[in-house]
Amino acid sequence: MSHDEPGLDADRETAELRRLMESTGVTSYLEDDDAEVELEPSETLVARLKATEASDDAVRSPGGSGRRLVPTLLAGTAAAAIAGILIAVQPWNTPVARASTPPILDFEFAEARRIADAPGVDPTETLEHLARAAERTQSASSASAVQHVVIEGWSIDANFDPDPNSTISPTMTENWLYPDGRFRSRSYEGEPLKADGRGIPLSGRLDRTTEFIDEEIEPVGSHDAQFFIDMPKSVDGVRDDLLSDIECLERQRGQERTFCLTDQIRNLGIRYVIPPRVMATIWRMLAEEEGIRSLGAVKDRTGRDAVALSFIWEGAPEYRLVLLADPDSGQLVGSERILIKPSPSSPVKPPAIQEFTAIVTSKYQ
Amino acid sequence: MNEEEFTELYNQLHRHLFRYAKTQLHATEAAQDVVSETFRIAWEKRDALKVEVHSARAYVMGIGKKVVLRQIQDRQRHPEDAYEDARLHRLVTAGVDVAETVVDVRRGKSIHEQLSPSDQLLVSLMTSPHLEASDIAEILGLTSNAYAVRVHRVRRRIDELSREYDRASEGGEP
Repeated sequence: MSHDEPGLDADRETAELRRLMESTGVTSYLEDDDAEVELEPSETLVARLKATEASDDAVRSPGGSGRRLVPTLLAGTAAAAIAGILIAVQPWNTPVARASTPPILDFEFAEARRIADAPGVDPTETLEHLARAAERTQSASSASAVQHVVIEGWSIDANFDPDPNSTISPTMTENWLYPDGRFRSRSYEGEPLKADGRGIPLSGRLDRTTEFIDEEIEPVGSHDAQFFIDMPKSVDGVRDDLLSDIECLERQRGQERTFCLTDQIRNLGIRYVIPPRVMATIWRMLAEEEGIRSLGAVKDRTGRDAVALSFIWEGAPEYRLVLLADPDSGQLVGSERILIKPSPSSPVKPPAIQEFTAIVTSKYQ
Repeated sequence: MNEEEFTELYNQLHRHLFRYAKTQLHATEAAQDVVSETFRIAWEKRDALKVEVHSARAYVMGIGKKVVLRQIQDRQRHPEDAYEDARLHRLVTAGVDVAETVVDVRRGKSIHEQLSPSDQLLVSLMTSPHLEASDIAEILGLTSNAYAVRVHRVRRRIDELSREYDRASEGGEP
């Protein structure tokens, strides 16, 4: 396997990592008593699964659909058929999306069906507009406050169900970053997306029916809570801080640097409250980077008006990253990662949403 | 996906999934349960796997990760000390040079525990000589470039953690 980036070859990196794991004891730790453990042979497993299935079939009512409990109605349009989306009409509720992956949003300069090859437009004007909007937004940053960010997201890794009739339920995650660097995160199961891929409420939905999934607490000092507050004011200073934090291998202008920066913005925005002055600088910084395009206006997954900025990294042309921003406040409101070309490393066929995040709340407490 | 394809998928992945689950759950039986439950779900989805899924391996490892997460949520973790004691007991009874091996395993454990869960999955897959770089990239759902960058970063991280461990050892901490 070879790579465009000089010095980074997957086979060589793999061999080096294996050697390092051997010399540092990681392999010994992982393999220690592994071989002694007997796992079920495939023949036994398949026989057992078949027997269980036969038993389940026997208790299903005759004529029943078995797995399908909700009456469904095929959306009879060609577009829906192409998208592989089935819409279930429930008399007591708004139709929800029924598909393996979330519906792709329609952007001003890239309709969902053209998301794979829509070029987008020059982003300069949009980025300057966002920078100015952010500058107008009142800053409430405080070194002694808790940063509270609520997101709703879905990803292939965590939520994918290959059943084309499955509902798409994002995970709602509430994050708190404390001034001493402690980080607390609580996740809940969200409600299914609507047929247009939207329906995430801005108010959050923590009520008695919300199913708690998980809680994680990272200790004091695990995060630099002042990361954005202490950030320099210049474009170059902000860029340097973002690249250093992610240990980006490339500092010169180009595709790799844009990849590092867009990835950073996407990842940091779901944990930190980004002060408006920093956000303004980030948009101006992106205007200097290679490969950013504007996809224009869009209604995001909460139904908010947003503008979309797109980047397709040459190193992974199968994916299109889209950053979503509020045109009024200049704040980041979400991101989408879309599979646009067949990839041996993705479990789905393009075009498809690989993951998305909607930032529902981002403020100091 | 037919029975033969499913069997092949199981044979390719079950040991890696077990190894990953065991490091996350610190319990052999629970890890065996993870393998069993993961492939039960995959069996139920086998029709859709044929039509909807491009990489069944990536999909099944994805299910495995979710099952592990659920296990962690559903039960109290197996106490770490008891786990380690049981391991050391096995080493002693097997006549292994315990002093040297224990230091090695402890260092490996310390490093492993400080990696992120996704990096832990990557290093679990690395332990199989039968998996090539392209196989691991596919299972993790990464492009070859992204995989190379990721491996490079994990390598640097392990190196850094190993040095920290040595420094702490010299200071008498671990």
